[in-house]
Amino acid sequence: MDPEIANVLKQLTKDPFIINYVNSVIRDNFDEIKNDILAQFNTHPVTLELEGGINSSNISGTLSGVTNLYSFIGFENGEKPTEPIREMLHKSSFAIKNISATGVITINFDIPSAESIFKVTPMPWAEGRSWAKGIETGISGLGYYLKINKNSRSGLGIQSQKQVRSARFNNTKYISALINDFNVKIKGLEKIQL
Amino acid sequence: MKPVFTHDLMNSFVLWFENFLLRKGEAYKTYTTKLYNYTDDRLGNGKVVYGSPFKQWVYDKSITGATVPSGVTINGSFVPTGTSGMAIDFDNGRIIFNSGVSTSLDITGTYTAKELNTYMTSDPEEFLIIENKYIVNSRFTTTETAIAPYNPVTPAVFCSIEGSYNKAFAFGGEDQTTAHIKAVAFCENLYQLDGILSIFSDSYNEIFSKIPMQSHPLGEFYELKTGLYPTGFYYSNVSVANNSSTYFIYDVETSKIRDNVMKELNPTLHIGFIDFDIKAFRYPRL
Repeated sequence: MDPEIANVLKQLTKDPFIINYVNSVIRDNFDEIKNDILAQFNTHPVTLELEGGINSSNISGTLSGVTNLYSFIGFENGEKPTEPIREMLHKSSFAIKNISATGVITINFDIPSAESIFKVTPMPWAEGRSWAKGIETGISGLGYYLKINKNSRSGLGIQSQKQVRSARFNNTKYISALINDFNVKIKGLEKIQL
Repeated sequence: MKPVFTHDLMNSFVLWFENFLLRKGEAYKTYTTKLYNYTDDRLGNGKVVYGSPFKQWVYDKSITGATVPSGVTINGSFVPTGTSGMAIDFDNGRIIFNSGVSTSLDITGTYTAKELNTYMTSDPEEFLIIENKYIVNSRFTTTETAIAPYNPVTPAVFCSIEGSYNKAFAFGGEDQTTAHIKAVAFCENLYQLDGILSIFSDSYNEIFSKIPMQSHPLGEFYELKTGLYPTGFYYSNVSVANNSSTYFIYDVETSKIRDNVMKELNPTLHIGFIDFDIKAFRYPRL
């Protein structure tokens, strides 16, 4: 490269106007991706069902309509199990690390991994187990049984063991697929030409 | 039906699991006890049974310090297996004779029993925890007697495969198979539960050999297959002999039932979970 052009490029990469411009272009693209991921999360049948609380119907189809996820997992009324995930997705951010003399921009993206989300989504009855991972790999009916047992003792209704037995869980894609999509879309930003 | 992937995986997993627990945790104890005669109609052909107070005797000779019996003492003399058809039922902790043997023999045996028994199950964990009622291996009973055969006893670990899926891995039809195996541990105290959870947390990144179903060491009466293992079953040797095909523990997570939930269940046992993700690389369509 011509030394003069190289010098101009070097100056440009330090120009506040250029840096702000790069920042705003990346922010626009990143926000679009983040909002898309949040929308996917917010409209996912599992999220909608859990946010419907104890009266929700089994719109995710994970329980063949026998009960709903909120009751099956065993959450207490008022608990908001999906909030920590939404919060982590919201906190996703980026920072421009470097603009090289040749104009290549290095950006650090801070987005949650599926594993980090599994850590903030504990089962209500077992420490160390994640309900969000369980959506993908399978959840036992123990939480459901405990809830029924508790409700029957407090007079909130009694369900038979037969109903517990029929509430079998069908796994479905959830957080891992979502984070995978997030990563793919972030990777797609490599193609942006400013 | 011939054994397929899941059969071989579970066979290999349970053999590895037992060996790992016995070896890393020294979770066994050696006893010398009397063996008591009882009737077992399931056996048929008039077989005569003498049972010990403990189920699941250790049969793996590669466990240092474990006593794997080759016979018992009858009326003061050591009698090896094979005499009068005598076989050791390692799973039910007893010896079985052919018909015609006296039911009033004075029999004692020295054997090593597992501290935590291991079972394969297809029951979901809520039924294991809620519905099943377990007999406790007899170590705290005041009157020593034979323990009833067949039903599981605690402390124990129940292993089940929850499911598996294949993903393309390499050209030529090689797939990566991921299997989820769950183990529910029923322990008699918190020390034991914390111990087993800690041992298996450290099994992350371990590999174990594919040991085919037909190489399982126990036969029809849970006796050692002496034709297959004439000098005894050494897991370490069998594992090496079969290490051309292995399974990889990609992930392992341990957890315990919360204290408040335990109070609601009011169980006498301490319960924990060990969730394994196991990977294998194979050609399922060839």
